Amino acid sequence: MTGLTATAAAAVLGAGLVLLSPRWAAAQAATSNNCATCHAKLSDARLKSPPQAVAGDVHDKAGVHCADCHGGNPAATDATAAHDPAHGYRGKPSGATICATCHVLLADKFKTSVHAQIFEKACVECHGNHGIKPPSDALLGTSKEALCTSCHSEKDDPGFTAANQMRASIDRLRQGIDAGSGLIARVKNAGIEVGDQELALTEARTRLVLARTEVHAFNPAALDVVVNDGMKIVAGVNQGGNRGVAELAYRRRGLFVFLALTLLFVVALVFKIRDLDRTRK
Amino acid sequence: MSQIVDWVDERLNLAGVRHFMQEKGVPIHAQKIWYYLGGLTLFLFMVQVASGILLLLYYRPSSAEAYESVQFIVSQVEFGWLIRNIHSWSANLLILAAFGHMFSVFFLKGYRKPRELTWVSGVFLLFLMFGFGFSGYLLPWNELSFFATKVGTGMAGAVPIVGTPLMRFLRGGDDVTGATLSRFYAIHVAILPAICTMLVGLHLLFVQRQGMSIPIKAARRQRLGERIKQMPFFPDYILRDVLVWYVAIALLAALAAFYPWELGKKADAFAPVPAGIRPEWYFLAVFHTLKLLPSHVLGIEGERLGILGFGLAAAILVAVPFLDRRASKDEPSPAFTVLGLVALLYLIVFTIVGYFAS
Repeated sequence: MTGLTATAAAAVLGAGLVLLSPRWAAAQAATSNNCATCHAKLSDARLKSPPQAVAGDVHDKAGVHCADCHGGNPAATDATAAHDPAHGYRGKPSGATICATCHVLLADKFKTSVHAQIFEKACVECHGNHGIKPPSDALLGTSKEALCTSCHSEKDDPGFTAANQMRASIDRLRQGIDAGSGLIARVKNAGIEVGDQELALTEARTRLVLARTEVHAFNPAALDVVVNDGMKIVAGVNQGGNRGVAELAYRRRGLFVFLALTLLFVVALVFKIRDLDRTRK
Repeated sequence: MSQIVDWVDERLNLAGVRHFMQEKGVPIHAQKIWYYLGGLTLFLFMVQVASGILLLLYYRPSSAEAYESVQFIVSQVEFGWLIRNIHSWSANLLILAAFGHMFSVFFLKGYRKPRELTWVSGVFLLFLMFGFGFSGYLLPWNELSFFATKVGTGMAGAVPIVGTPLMRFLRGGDDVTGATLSRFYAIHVAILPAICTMLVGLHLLFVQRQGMSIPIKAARRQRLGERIKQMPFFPDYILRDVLVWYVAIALLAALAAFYPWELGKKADAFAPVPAGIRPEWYFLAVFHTLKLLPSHVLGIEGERLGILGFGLAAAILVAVPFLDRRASKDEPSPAFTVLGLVALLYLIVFTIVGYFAS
């Protein structure tokens, strides 16, 4: 075997090994998503519209694609191979279980709620399945954008009251954190060391995330426990911030007293120097 | 008071000191105001020593504790914030005063014979101040100082021949780590102060032995028989010096209260390099020049060539009294005046441009 033939054989063997490697296959699967391409050609709107709705939604941006929920082989170019159960294809998944694959904590909270018993499609009932909007506090409560009002629109409905209560609790913690952050930033800009308060604010923000998770149990009392924990941290932050403001005022007062004394001393020195100069003359 | 002086006099014979105090005078001429910069530099150096010693009481020189200890100083220790801010601000004012002192001596040709050694010791003192600034910048162990030290020590690596060993020596290894911090701490609080104290003593001794220099014009008039007026150092001049020091103290206090030195985030070697990394202002001109240099000039690495250039400039600065032959004969030397003006203009422009560019 000549050197050239040996090199060519090694190259072919190497390429074959790479192509057969599971890592290469996985990388290909991740980069090729043919679902949208094929489904765009279908005439049935139920099959054609989901990929269009998903494009640019919260999951699309997070890198979660069709096969992550529906299974199958997104790299395949024909329908049979794409919908092969051997590739984990499960068709239309249950909203009660599929979301929980990733949103474990939210699903756990939801399971304890009254809605778990009446929502057939679980999470999908409020959030939908394709074209999901980014979550925000506006989805909670009884305002125009809120999801709760689609069922609880009457003011005497306990669900309406609960939605309002929960939104008020979340707003209270969020506004508390915002105000605390503003105070700490102001004090920090003035040169007061606020490392501990900044750390506490991070902790308070974690509580806000936990509170937003707790919302999915739809229990205002349980939510208040988490929110109140966060508010206690915010109170500590504000206390530290106010101490900083007082410290600043104290420093400024001290400085002015010191400057006044210095000025007095300087004036006295000037008189002394003039006196000395007159004596020399 | 006189009883105490008599008691000490009886044991130590203070006649020499008394004579020195009575005889020491400061020449009076149009440029005498520049003399105050020397005293101001010395005063700020003493402020640095005093505030530095106070900081030492709480500072802990390890990568695990340095940042936290500075945080503790500024947030928990009574007046710790004031001491730290005075130390930081005073360091900057000290360099500014030292620059002012050096340039005033340069333009008044105060380095001319027989004061060559006073100039040389003064220039070396300025270099030591840079060393203090560079080593002290890292001590709070925050993000900015960490990455600036990385860049700064990296530049030392560009020094021809000894660059890599020098960089490894400064860092205490291949990279900036806790070992660098320990090293910089030792340099900042022991090695540099020891050398600096000796050099300051020597510098002051030279000044005392030779008296204050007077401008060339005044010296020529003196040679023609004119008597240059003298002001007694004690108490006339020293009172004026104290007045300047008081103004400096007031300025320091105001800066510390209104513009405190931010501590920033703790250094994290794995964090991405934050935006706005730049050295202290007195290194900005050099830093910006090195940044502007092309990667290669005439086959030599640009940064290396820049370092060589600054090394040469430093050597010329030290040797100024020996190069300016005209001044040593009390003759005007406009070439050196122009050279000084160009250097001053370059430093000001490149510092400003470097500040806004980074």
